[in-house]
Amino acid sequence: MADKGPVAIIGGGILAGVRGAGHDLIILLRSASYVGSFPSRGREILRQMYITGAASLPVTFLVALFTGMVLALQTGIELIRWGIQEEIGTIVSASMTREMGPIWTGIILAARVGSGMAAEIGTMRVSEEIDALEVMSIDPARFLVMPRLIALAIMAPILTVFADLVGVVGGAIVGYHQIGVPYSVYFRKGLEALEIKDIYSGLIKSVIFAIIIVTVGCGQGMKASGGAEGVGNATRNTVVISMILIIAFNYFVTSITQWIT
Amino acid sequence: MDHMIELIDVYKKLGLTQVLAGLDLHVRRGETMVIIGRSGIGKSITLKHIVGLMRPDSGKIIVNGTNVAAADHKALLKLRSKMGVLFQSGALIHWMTVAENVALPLRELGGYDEKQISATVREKLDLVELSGAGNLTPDKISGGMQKRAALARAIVRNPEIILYDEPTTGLDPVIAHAINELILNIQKKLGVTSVVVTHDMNTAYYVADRIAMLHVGKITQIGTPEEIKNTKDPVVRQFIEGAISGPLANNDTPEAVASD
Repeated sequence: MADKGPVAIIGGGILAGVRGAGHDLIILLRSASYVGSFPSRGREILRQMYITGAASLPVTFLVALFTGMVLALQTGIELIRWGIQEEIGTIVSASMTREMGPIWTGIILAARVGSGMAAEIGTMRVSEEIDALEVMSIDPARFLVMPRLIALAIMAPILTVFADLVGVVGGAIVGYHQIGVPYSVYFRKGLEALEIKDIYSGLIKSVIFAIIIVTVGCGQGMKASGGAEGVGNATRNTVVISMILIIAFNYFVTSITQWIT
Repeated sequence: MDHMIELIDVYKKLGLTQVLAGLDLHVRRGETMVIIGRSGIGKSITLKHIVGLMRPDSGKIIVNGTNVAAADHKALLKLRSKMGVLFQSGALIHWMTVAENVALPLRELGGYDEKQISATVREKLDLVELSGAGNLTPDKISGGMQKRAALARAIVRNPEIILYDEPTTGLDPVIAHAINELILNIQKKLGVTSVVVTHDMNTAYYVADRIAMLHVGKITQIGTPEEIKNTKDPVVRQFIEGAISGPLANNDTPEAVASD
């Protein structure tokens, strides 16, 4: 290894990255091809919807609440100087639905659900459970990945809407108590600012984030090797790679929806 | 001679390690072949080649007339439907109960109604003496019970070939003996061809029709348990006696072979 030049090392790294991404994409496409046979995995889909969605509600609630609160506080302090503090309803609801709700939900899910998937599937890989599935002629893409893909693609938009709502309410509380904006004014302004395209762009984002998280988490898990250390690497890589992809794709989806409308 | 499994001049390199280096092994239909050898020498890797989880760098692996090394996905699926594998760790799906694990191959492949499935599961759990544990998950049962549950799953489709990866490793002598009995019992009842990978000589002598010694990537000795017990080959002698000094020095692992 020591006699390799920098070009060989960088080239090798790029090749490994491309190969890894290809591996993950193949898993995604294979599991997507099984989406039609979802009734056979109904129970597992429900189990995953609980693990990924329902169990993520408390952390999503807290993160969204404080995000809405700090948004109202920061903008409120500034807007008071101009005497237009009742506009914080506009700002908080637009920022939550357009950016903060989807992106925070994506990051929470990457950290909480993506890492969990990588650890669970990675452990199954190193304890030969995935080999056992293959020997029984059961495709892991259908058995493990497809139910997670469907479950998260359903739960991520629901969590995003929940985060949007909680964030707006958090903003209202700070707006009333610290900035002095009545609830009626705050919510009227907030509703006026809502555009349907903001909501659907947030929902499209959340489905894309769900696909990213499941693809990276399951792909990393499937590639895990070498016991506990391998599972640890898979988990860490999942969180890092999904977060970067979520933030990058967030920009592109925003650009595209702005451009279309 | 009618062979069920043939490995012909198989080579496999993993990283820098030449694990299999011209391995030849012919397993007769209906026989129990035990592969012995030191830990890390490539015994489990040999099994993974037979079932098509790994492909060789060169050489042929013919199982029931199909060349596994060149088989496409469909041919592999067909072949695997006639095979059962007992993995070293049991490899039970961790969130499913014992009964669900045993039913899994039948349920996932279809063609059976629930009544047939539950009758078959009950029959196989009886065979491995686990009738009372069907509703427990793998984390609630002992290592020996996990192995037996995994064995029930491996035989649920009445395979023609069963591969056992270290069936008694990590078990106490009493349970290990019970597993050996089960292997013999299944052999008698189902008339299967079996390959058992182990470094437990009690298992090897008890279940084997023939024993093969895997050493530096090849089969270096093969014979009946009696022949192996009485062999003059210094490598096999040291292995079966567990002597510290002898030709099986610490540098005989595949890693050392690769750097030769």
